[in-house]
Amino acid sequence: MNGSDRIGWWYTLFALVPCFAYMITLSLAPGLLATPIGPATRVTLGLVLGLALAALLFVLAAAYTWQINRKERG
Amino acid sequence: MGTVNTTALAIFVLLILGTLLITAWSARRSGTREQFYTAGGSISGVQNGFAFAGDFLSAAAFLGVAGLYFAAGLDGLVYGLGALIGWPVLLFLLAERLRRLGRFTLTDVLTVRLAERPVRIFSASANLIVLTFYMLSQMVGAGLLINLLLGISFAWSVVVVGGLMLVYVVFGGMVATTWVQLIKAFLLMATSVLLVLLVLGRFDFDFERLLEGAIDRHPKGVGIMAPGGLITDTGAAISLALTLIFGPAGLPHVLMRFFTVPNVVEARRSACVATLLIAVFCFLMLVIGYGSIAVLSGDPQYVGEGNVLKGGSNMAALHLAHALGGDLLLGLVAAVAFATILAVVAGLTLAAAATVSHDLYAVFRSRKPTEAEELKVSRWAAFGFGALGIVLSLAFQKENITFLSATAMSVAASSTFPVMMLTLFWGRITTRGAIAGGVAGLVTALVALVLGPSVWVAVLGHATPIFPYQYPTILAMPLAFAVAVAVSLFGAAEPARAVRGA
Repeated sequence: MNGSDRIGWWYTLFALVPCFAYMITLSLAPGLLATPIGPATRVTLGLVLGLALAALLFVLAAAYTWQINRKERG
Repeated sequence: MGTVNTTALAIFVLLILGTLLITAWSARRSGTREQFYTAGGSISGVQNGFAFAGDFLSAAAFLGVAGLYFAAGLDGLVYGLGALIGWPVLLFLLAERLRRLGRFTLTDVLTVRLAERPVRIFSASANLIVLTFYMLSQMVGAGLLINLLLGISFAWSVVVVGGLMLVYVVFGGMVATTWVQLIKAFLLMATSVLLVLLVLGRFDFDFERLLEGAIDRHPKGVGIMAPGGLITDTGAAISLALTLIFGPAGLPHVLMRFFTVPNVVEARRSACVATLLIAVFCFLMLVIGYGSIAVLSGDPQYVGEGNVLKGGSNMAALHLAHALGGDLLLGLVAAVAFATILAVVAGLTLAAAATVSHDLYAVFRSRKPTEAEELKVSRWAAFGFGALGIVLSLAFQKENITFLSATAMSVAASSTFPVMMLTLFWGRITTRGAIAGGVAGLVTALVALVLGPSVWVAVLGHATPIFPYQYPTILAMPLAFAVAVAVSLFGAAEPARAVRGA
């Protein structure tokens, strides 16, 4: 396994753990995800965490691409 | 709706003319095998990123997810994320190796290490099953959409879609398919942004007010802000997650796109651009989904008794467009949805044609076919696959299209994905192990699908399913890995080749 493979596996881990955690929380604790994030809002934790997951996946993708492409170009 | 929407028809015609012009331009650039299968590696990372996103943002991701938001609220977000969460595996683990090892098809990557003939037969068979299920879901969706908007029969609708996709693929190859996909992705994003701006404008650009409106008007009330009944237990959640995360990494028409860029740097860049576009689309669909609840719920023009959408559960985005912008916006959104389906089926047909001509044809010939022969077979294979798609979609027109596309993802995650991962990352894999694991996963996935709730209960009418989950990936994928590893370790020894470029 080369260096970029190792980095790839770490990034995969950072991405997949939150994905699985979110999906499993949906089934185990739906009530938790239905909790509003504040007293004066209808926005729930499930909605915020879902969008945060989408944002996280893009940030990880951008960071990985920048890091590995920069390394490759020397 | 239900009568001919002339605006939609006019935009459809414009769109078709535009894409046919692209095909005519591409035809001059599709003369060689490299150009036909992979656009000669001439697509830039950003262009390919749009095309990748186009492959993922299918009719199900647009019409289906909007409908899901309308019916169940937050569950729509879960399925909307489905198009996104497969990308980490594709980008972080596969992009580099696929680009370095692959030439035209996914099978080329496997044969770098494994014996050519058995692997080509297995991989091509699994790929064709996956592509057929995926194609079927798109064709049925296209037929229903055109039937609804233009008033022509379902049969003629699928013939029109099938005919157009064949023109793109047969004459334009990967160049035309990529450009159609790229333009469609741009149109879909632009149309979604327009819908979001219009729907937010209705609520003074206050998202909280939009949510209040949705909660007030939907029969489930505040329940639309919580996860609903789509994911019922932990096993179902894990199986769905495995399907959505690993399924895309086994889809041949998606993986083939890594061969269309000039180098590994562009391959990574394309996957990154696709991730950005799909993530942005998730945000847009959230507003469109809740906006459709807030605008359409209780309006007798769009919903019937029990707040059920008129025209079916996939109509939320189209009804919303009509409510916000009349026939003009409806026509635009319908045309974009149509382009979405056309582009996806063209990509599927090209992948199937390449599988038949490049992977299968050579195996059953006594001598290696010439490039011209292979291209000829590829074009005939496109015709055959297109005809098969038309005939099957006529037979399965009443089938649930979400089930059909989920089947494709589940089969891909359970058959080609384990074989590919072990081939790329495990030095002790043998050809026998790979085939045994792949076949075990493939057969298990198909059998469990038949015994599961989607077929055993919904189609065959039994009271309870024999296999409890809708997606069999939780069983079939680990089994494929286990069988492949066990046969490789304990089966008869055979020489494995070192992976070039790994």
